[in-house]
Amino acid sequence: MKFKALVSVAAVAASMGVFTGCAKAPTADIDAAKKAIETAKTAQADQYAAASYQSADDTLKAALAEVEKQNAAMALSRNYTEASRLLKVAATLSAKSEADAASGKEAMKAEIESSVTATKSALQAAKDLLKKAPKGKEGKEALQAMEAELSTVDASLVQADADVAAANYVAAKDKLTAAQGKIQQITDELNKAIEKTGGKKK
Amino acid sequence: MKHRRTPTTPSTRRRRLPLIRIVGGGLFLCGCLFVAVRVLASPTGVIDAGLKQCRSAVSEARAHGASTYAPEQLAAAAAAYEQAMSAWQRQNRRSFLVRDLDSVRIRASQGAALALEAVSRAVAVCDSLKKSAHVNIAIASQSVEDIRDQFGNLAMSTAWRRRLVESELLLSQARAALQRADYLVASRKLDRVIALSSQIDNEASTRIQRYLASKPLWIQWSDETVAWSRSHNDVAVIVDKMARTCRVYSAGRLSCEFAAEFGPNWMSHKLRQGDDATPEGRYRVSARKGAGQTVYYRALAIDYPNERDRTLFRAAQKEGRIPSGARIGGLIEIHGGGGKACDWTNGCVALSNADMERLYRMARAGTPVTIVGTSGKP
Repeated sequence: MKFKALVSVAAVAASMGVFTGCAKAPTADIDAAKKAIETAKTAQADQYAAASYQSADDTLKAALAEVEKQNAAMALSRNYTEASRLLKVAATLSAKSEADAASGKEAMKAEIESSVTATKSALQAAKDLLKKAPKGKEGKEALQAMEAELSTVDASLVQADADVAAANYVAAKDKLTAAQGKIQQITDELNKAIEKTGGKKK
Repeated sequence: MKHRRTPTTPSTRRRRLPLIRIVGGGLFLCGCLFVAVRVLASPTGVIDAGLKQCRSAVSEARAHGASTYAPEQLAAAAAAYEQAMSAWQRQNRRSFLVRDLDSVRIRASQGAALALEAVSRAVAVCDSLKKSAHVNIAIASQSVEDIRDQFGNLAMSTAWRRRLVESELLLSQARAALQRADYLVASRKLDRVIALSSQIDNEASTRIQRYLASKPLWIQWSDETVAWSRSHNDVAVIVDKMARTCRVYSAGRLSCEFAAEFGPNWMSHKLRQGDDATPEGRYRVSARKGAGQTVYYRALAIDYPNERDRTLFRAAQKEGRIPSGARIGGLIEIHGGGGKACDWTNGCVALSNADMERLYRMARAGTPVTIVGTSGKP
């Protein structure tokens, strides 16, 4: 009688085990991977390391789908090994994209800052040259025209500064390159005018 | 008489036990069968495959530039995927006996379809922008070049000049964007260039129309000047500002033609001292200045301002178009020192020294000098 009672209890416990399951979802790995991708996004990895960021995001999505696939399975058959592996890969890729973004941004920032300095120097040199240009009546209109043009280039550099401040380095680079071309054109015209009057080229 | 319940005897209990076992076992087997069918028929594999297909489609859409060229469609596809995943999570928390995975399957399928739509749209938009960018960069380049060439001679205002330089800078930026295949940015910059060019063009056209409003009067003056030269068998001079010429008529026939330069504000009629405008009107040579009498090689002073100029000056002052303290000015001449290929005088008409030499020999005090905006002749 007692033996039968014990067998009954064991059977009930086994049944409960079948329905409640043993394997647990890797919540710690999920949290770590999600945190890593958010950190990478905050570091603008989606802009400055788009390929590696997207790879990390895709891997995370695949990992979460694998977790749900196991959650959908029968308790005894659940296996989160592959999901854990994918989550760890996603976290690693996120960290890599964050690092790639940081180094990419730094390199671009350094390039742009150097270009900003060079362009502003060229603009100032052109303005100084304008002051030295021949002041005769015949040059007055042309000088006024160049002054207006340099003023427009100056306004464009202010916009470039705003782009740099907002870390829009590609837009800033385009503006700086365009400004450099225009400044060179005006400088060449000024040098020709100065040379014509017998002055020294700068 | 009450029936008494027959007490259960050990033999009675032994007959009932097999029956309980059979019924219980049967129920258990049915339950297991039900569970087995439910599990085997579970669409987990289908769901997983559907979500995987949706994920791949969204990735492909991104690879085709959908985030730039079809952002709304891409966002819808990504949202559908997230909704499918959320629905799957909700269903997985329920007992497998009561899960309903149809909504998951449907959302995943919708997501995949939206992602394909995003790919199509991205490819179409990118292709369209690429073609229009290549066309527009040629149009914009030509517009800007035309403005530099044509309107450079039209006394370009500072505002025009700033817009022109802004166009040139934007054009350069558009070329850079086109080079790195950023067709959306290139298109936006080119649209702005075309808009600025169009603005300058419209303003220039309006200015030219205003300028040419006096054309009938100028043609009349020119014709009367030529007629005077014919009838008096004498020399007369017609300065044509738009043609940039100084023509000398002798006995009504064109004798010679010289290239002329004016003040930077040549398109305006001279209203006051210091406005750098070359006046329009019918004048006469009032004085001849030879070598040593002018810094400009030779000069022919004209009798500006005449009565018409004074009338216009007073009207402009009254209407507030010029300051009340402004002076009408004077000392307008035809002189040498020209040949600079720009409009540089304070309102005078400048010829090269060689041309001035010839004109100086032909003209005398009293020679008519008619200055017009255009005589209608090229």
